[in-house]
Amino acid sequence: MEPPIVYYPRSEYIETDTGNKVSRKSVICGSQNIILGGKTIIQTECVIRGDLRRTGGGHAVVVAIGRYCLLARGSIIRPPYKTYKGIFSYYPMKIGDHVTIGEGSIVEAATIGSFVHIGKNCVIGRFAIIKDCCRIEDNTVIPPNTVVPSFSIYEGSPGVFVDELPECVQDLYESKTKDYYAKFQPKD
Amino acid sequence: MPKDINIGKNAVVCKDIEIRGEIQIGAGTILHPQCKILALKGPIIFGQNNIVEENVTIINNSQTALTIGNENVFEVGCYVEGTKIGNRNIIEAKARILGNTSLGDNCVIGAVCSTKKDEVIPDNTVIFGDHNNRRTQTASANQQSSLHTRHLDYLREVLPKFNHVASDSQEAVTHSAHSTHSRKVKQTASH
Repeated sequence: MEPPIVYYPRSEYIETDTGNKVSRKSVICGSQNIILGGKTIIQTECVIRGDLRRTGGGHAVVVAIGRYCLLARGSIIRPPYKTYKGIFSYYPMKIGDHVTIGEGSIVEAATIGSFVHIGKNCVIGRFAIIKDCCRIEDNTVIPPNTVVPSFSIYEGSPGVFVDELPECVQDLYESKTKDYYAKFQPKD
Repeated sequence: MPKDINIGKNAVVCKDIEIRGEIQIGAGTILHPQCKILALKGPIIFGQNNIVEENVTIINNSQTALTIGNENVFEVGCYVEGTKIGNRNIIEAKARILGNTSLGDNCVIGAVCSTKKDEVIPDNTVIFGDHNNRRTQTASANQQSSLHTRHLDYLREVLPKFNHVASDSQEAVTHSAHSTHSRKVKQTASH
């Protein structure tokens, strides 16, 4: 099925040199600690918390997002926190390439691999690890510290394994995210 | 920021929030950016050392005050109506407290769970899972409270560095003076 072309008002989005499209109505805290890989879309009302950085000095990357990712409307990315050896700290979060995060989802994962699809209104708990090529269905709650293995589909609250994905899913998600980016166009 | 908001000592209130009506914020309470505190009819009274994360909505639709105790955590995107929230509760992401519900102490409302309308939730209740199942808390509160104090210390140091913090609280000034002092101490220690 061919998805339609999505038009947005040109003034609503800022396009960077590397082709990232970031909505002016999104909230990005601590932008110097955030890396976007290129051709990533951050839609309206998203929140990315780059200010919650690791304790201790020096330059720190808090949120690293790969290429061709989509953070849909109202999604929230915030790094996870814990105390380790008695010291409280937030820890960096890494998101791979070709990752879609659905509307209204909250992500506090440690790592999200590449070719991952997260549905609408999901909650990904602190320090969850989502491996490559996974699908998290709509309204799923992944509890803290869960590891979601490759090629799996998770659903429910708490999220449990329901099905496997075929091997072609990598190409599928790659073409889907590229297609979405190509069809996300400005209109005056 | 409206005049009838009262901010306690050491509290960190980010400027990028939506606030309406009569609100009291107790000592040491932290409001992240993008939270909504709406006292539409009656006032909302926060106790000490609460953490309110982004996209949280706390709303008071009744004439009586909504009182919130001490050391509660309101995680991302939760929705709170209610009449009373006790102490040391955790309201997880996207959880909802509805109607005139009152919450005891040491409760956990799990992610995406919701309470019924107008109920009284006793102390140490945990609401979890798909069907809002309930059980009694067994974990000790000590560990959680030590994590909470460290979390507060961290946020008090970091949030003012990256966000605009309400300047009408002079405590913010004394706090920043304190933090520069501690930084000096660290520097001398490193020498």
